[in-house]
Amino acid sequence: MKIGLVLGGGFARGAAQLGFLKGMFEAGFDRSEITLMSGSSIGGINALGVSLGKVDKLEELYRTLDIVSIGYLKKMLKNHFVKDLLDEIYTDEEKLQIPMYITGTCMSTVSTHYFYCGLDSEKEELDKKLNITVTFPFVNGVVRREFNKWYLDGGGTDNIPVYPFKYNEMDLVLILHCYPKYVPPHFMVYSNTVVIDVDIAARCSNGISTYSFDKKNLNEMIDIGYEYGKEFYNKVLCDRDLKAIKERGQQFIREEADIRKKKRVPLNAAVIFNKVQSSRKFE
Amino acid sequence: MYCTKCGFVTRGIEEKCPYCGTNFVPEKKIDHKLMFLGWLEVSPRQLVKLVCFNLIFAAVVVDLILNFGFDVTHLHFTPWMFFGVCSFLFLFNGLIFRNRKPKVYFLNSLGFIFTFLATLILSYQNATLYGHDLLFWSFGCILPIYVLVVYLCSTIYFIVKRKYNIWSTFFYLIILFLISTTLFVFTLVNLFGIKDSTFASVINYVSFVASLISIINGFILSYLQIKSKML
Repeated sequence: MKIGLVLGGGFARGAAQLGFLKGMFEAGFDRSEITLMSGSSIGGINALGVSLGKVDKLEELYRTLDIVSIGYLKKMLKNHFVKDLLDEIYTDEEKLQIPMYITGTCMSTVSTHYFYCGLDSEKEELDKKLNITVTFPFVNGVVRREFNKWYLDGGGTDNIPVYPFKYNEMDLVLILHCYPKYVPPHFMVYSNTVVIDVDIAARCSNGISTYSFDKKNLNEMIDIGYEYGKEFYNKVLCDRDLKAIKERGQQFIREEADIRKKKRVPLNAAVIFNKVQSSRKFE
Repeated sequence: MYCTKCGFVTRGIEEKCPYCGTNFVPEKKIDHKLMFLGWLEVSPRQLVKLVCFNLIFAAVVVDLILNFGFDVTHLHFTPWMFFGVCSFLFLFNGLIFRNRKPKVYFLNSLGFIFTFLATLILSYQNATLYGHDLLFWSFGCILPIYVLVVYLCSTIYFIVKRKYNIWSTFFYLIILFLISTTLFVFTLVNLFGIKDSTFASVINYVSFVASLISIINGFILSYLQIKSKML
């Protein structure tokens, strides 16, 4: 069975996403079952962790991270935070084990670019692409100049990068995002692919900040995400019968709908950017 | 768009892969699963339009046959029936099935006004209204007022939307300019008694001047836009 994984952006909520993934892996989900991944913003970093099989290492980094202000984060990113992070989890000898797409917003054409990172991707190139996808405005610079183009954070125009799966057909696509009101795009809904979207932050209370990278906040999110990931795996992915997964997945979404309805949307800016993108009607 | 060579995907305006230069394969714009009749590539909306158009066309043909073929003047459809049906279609297309392209609204309104005038003239050939025949009312009042209303609406649209497309604007301007120039010529040669009426003459002059001003401004704006694009 070909499984695709979409990891949406969400600033600090990426910690909950990582916890969710760890929960799924520990519950029995085999990483080698994933055929292709697509990540935007912090989801891109998580995708790299999954692709390299370094989820534990990444979790350790998240748990020790303690950024008390945006100014500090800005300083960290300016000082090659992504490069340092890559050095921590990725040596020159290592190669990606799962291909993935990294999203960037091209400012020159105001379009979304999905960079393909194949199994033979060079570290330098990967470094550039990851730097593009985490170009948080006014944090990692307003825009970045890479590949002779100006780029903005991938979440700017597509925070949940499902689009590459339009061209890469899968049997099952798991969309892990943090938009309570997210609805999968029509090209996925009308395709033969089984689509299950999970709001990984559904169990995080409204009091847990999306924009805070302080230690307590991150640890809390990882723990909540971990439990949620385990629960999701046991409820939905406990066997590999696609039809049963579809039914259980839909049941799971229905059960979660009430919780999601009560949630506040924490990513208003990203929602607006996504609306701008969809209004351009590129599809 | 998907690059078959390097796997790069873009959702934007690029025609070829910005990294390896491979030309993108153009996508099929039509989603067959959304089509009502997949094999015909016709959507429900297009199907409704097609049926309505055929009904209107059949009504026009029947009306013409009744009007010219038989001496049953009170039996054939009246222009008010056309006014009603066309208004319904205009509203139906414009409001219920929203197509936000101004060109569609413009062509709809153009078709609507000409159909209405044609049925009005053909149906009441010898009738007079306030001492004037229907040709006078059509070319002396209704058509120039229509031209002015279109100018007013398009100016408001331009100001609100701030969209200016050289080619589509000239498409409207040329059609409107041709109509208003023809009406202006009618006024000069005193066709249908337009020159004798002060109101009809003035409204025709105003529509002609509005067309002239619009087309000159259109040229200036287009020149400036082309110049700025070249820079």
